[in-house]
Amino acid sequence: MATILPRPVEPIEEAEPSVLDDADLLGIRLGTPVRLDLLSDLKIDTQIGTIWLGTWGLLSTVLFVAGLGVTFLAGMDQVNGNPWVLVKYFANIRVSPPDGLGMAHSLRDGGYWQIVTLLWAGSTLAWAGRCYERLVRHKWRPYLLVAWLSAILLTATIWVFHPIVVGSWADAPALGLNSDLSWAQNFSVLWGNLYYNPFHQLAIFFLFGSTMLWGMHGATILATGSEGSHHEDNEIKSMSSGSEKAALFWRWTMGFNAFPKSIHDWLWWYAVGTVLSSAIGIIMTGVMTNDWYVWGVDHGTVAQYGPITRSAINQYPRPMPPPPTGYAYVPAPGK
Amino acid sequence: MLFRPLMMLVAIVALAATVILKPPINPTLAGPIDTGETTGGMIGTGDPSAPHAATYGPVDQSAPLDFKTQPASVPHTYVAGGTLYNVQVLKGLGYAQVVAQMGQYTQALGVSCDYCHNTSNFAYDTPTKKVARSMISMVGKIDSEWVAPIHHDFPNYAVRGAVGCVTCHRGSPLHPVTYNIVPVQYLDWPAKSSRQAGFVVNSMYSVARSLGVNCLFCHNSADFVTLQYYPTNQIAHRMWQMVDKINHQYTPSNIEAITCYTCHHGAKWPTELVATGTDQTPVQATATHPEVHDNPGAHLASGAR
Amino acid sequence: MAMLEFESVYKKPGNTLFKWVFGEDPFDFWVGRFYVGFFGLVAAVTIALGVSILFIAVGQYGDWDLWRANIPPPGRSVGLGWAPFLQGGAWQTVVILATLSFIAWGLREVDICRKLEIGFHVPAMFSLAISAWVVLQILRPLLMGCWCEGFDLSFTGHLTWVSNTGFRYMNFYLNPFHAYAVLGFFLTAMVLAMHGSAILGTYNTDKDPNVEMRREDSFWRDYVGYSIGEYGIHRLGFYLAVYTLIMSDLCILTSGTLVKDWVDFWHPF
Repeated sequence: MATILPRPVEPIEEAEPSVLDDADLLGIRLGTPVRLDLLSDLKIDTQIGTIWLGTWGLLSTVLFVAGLGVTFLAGMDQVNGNPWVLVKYFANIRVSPPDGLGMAHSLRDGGYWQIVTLLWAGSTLAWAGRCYERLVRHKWRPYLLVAWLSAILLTATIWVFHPIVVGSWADAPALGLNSDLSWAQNFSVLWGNLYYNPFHQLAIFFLFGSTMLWGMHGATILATGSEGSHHEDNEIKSMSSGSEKAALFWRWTMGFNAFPKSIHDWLWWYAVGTVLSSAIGIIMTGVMTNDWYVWGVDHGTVAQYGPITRSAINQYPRPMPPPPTGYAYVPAPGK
Repeated sequence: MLFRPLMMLVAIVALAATVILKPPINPTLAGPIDTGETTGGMIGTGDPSAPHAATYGPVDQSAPLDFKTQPASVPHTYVAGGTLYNVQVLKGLGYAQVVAQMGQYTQALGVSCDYCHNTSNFAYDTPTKKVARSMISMVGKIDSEWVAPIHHDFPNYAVRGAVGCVTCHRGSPLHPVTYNIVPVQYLDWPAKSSRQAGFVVNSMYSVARSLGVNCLFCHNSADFVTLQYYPTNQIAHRMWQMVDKINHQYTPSNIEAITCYTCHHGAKWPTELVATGTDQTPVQATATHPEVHDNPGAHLASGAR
Repeated sequence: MAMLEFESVYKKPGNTLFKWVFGEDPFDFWVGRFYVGFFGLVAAVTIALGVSILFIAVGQYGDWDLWRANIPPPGRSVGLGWAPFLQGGAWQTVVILATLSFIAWGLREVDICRKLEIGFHVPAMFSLAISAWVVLQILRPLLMGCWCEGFDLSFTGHLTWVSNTGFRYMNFYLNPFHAYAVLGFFLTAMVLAMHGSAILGTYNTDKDPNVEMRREDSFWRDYVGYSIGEYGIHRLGFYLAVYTLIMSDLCILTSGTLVKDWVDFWHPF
C-alpha cells in the first residue's frame, strides 16, 4: 500500500564476495532480490531474497523433496490411487512404522516409513551442514548450529533412539496429521502418563518460559524501540537510553534485570533447554521406568490416587492385569 | 494503512475456515482408510469379504420339505394346537407358554412367524430356527454367567431387568449395524508399542461412545495402565470378555460382530430390558443407584484424594 | 542495594496512575531496587495474604511435600457458591487473592512504563498471560456453572488436572485451537533460538562503531532467503507470543462449553 510521503528507495543489500562462497561448486545465490514495500507497513525488512544454494542446501532440498514424494506415494497407496480421496482424507493418511526392529517386510507394513525417515534424517543433517558452512562464511559463533543440532537430537531421539532402546520402530510416530497428534496421546498412555516425567516437566517449563521470555523481550524492545534499543549490536557496545530504560523497567518491577547481551543468553538457553530436556525425557522413557506415574509415586512427587497393579511394572511389553472373576480371556481369531 | 486490518481479517478467516470446514478426522479407523467404498465387513478394516449383515430368514415357504435331514422328532404332518414337537431349548414349558414366547420373539425382532418357521409344519427345522436356538440359550447364559455375578459383586451398579432379545435386536432381525466402532477383536493388550496402544485407545473411544461417557468414567488418566480399580473398570473387564465370548460362541460366523453399542446403544446401561431370560415382557430399566453412574473419575479431575 | 550507574537519571517521582486520579501519590517511592507505588502495595498485601493462606491450608491438609502438596477446588455440589475452608474455600480465597495480585502487578508495570515514558507493550503482554489464568480459574468455571472446574493449586496436582481434562474431552490434541497454540509454542521456541543465536553469534564488544552489522542480514538471506530485521524480529516474537496465548485461551474456553468430544468434533457433517 502506498504511503503518503514518498519513501526513499533503499538499495538492494547483497553480501560481499568471499573466498568461502567461491569454494563451493554450487555456491550461487538464487533469484533476484525484490523489495516489497508493503512490508514496511509491518515495520519488517522489505527485501526478499536472495537465497544461498550451496551443495549442502541442494542435498538437503533434494532429500526433503524425495521424502515428500515417498510420503505422497504411500498416501496414494492407502487410498487405492484415488487423488480426490487423498485430498478429502488428507488428515487421516497414516504412514506407519513396522513392528520390531530391523527392516520392514513390505512397503505397506512400514517400508514407506523407514524410507521417509532415512530421507528426512539425511535432509536435516544436510541442513546442519549448510548451517555450519554459512556460519563459518559469515563469521558467526556457532550458537545457531548447536541449537539446530539439539533440535535434531530431539527428533532423532523420538524417531530413532528411543524405538531402538525399547525394541520397536512402532513406538515412533507415524507420518500423518492425525496419527502424529494421536501418537502424543498414545505414547503417554503407554508409558504411564508423561506429565509425571521430571524431564518432560522441565521441558514444558522451558517451553512456556520461552514464550514468556519472547513476550517479555519482544515487548521490552517494542516499548523502547523509539529510543533505538533494537539496534542490539550497538546496544551491547554502549547502551542507549532505550536499553537503560529497558533494564530499569525490569529492575524496578522484579528486582533484577538483564542487559542487551545477557538477555539473549537467557533466550538461547531457554530455547535449547526445551529440546534438550525433551530429548532426555524421551530417552529415559523405558530406561528409568516404563511407567512414569508409578515412578512419581515411588519417588514421592505424585500423590497415590488408588491401588496400583504392581505386577506389571518394569515389564515391557506390559502383561494385562488378571481378569477378576477367573474367566479366561479368549484371544481373537487368527492372531 | 488498509493493509494491516485486511491481513488480520484474512488470518482470522483462514483460521476459522480450518475449524468450520472440518476435514474429516476419524481416529477410530484402525486400518486402511474406510472410504465407504467397501461393501461391508468390520468397520475400520476395509475388509470387503465379510458381508454386511447376513440374514437367515425369512424361510422359503415354497421349498419342498426334506425330512431326511430333520431330527427324528419332527412329524411329517403337523397339526397345530396342543402338542409340541422338536423342542430343543424351551424345555419344560407348556404349549400356551411356548406360543406366548413366540409372540414376544416376533415383537422383539419385528418379524412374523414365517421368518423362522415353515408355516405348513411348525416343527420343521430351518436354519433360522437353529440360529434362534443358539440365541435363546445365549440370552439365558448372558444373564446367569455375566450379568448376575456383576450385580452380586457390584450391587451399587445393579439395574432392574434382564437382557432379552429386544436388548440387541430392538425390533429388527438384524442386530443394529454398528458405526464408528472397532470390534473387540482388534483390541490387543499387552501393547508392544505406541501404535498398538493407539489401537487400544481407538477401541476405548468406541466403548466410551457406546456408553455415552468419556474416558474418566472408568479411568483415572494419571495412569491408565496400573490404576484399574474403579468398579466401572472392573465391570468393563467382564463385559469385554462377555462380548468376546458371544462373538465366538453364539453369533453366526458370517455376520458382523457385536460390540458394546449393540446392547448399550449410547447409554450407560441398556434401556431395552425384559423381565427375565425366559419372560420377554419389556420392563423399565432403572438403576438401583443412579447417582453412582455419575463420573467416578470426575472428582479426580482436580487430582487429589 | 546497588544502583545501576544510569539509574539516578530516571529515578524520579511522578507520572503514576494514582497521581493522575487523585492528584497526589504518597506511595510513589522505591524500596531498594523495587518500585512500590499504590499497586505495589496492593500486590504486596495480596501476595502476603495469599501465601499465608496457602501455607495454612497446606498445613491443614497435611502433605507438606513440595511436589505433592495440594489445594483442591470445591466439589461439584458447591456449584458457584462459597465452600467451607477445607472443602474448597481455601482454593477460592487463594484464587481471588492471586488474581488481585496479578492485576495489581500489571497496573504497577503500567506505572513504571509511565514513569520511564516507554510503550505499554510489557503490561499488555502480561495482561494476556493473566488472561490465561483468569480463563482457567474463573471464566470457564463460571461458564460451566461450577467452581470445581478450576485446577488444583499444586505442582503435580495441576498436571493430573490437565491430563484428566484432556481425556475428559477424549483427545485434546485434536482440539484445533490447541493444535494452533502448540504450533505457536514450537514456533516461538524456534524463533527464540534463532534470535538468540543471531545476537550471541555476532555481538562484538569492540567499541569501534565501524564494525559492520550487515553480516546479520546477509547470513539470514543466505540461510533462509529473508532477513526480518532488528526491529522486525522483536515484532515477530511479540506477536507470536500474543497469537499463542490467544489460541490457548480459545482452546480451553471452547472445551466443555461448545465442544464436549474433540474426536467426534471432526465427524463429517
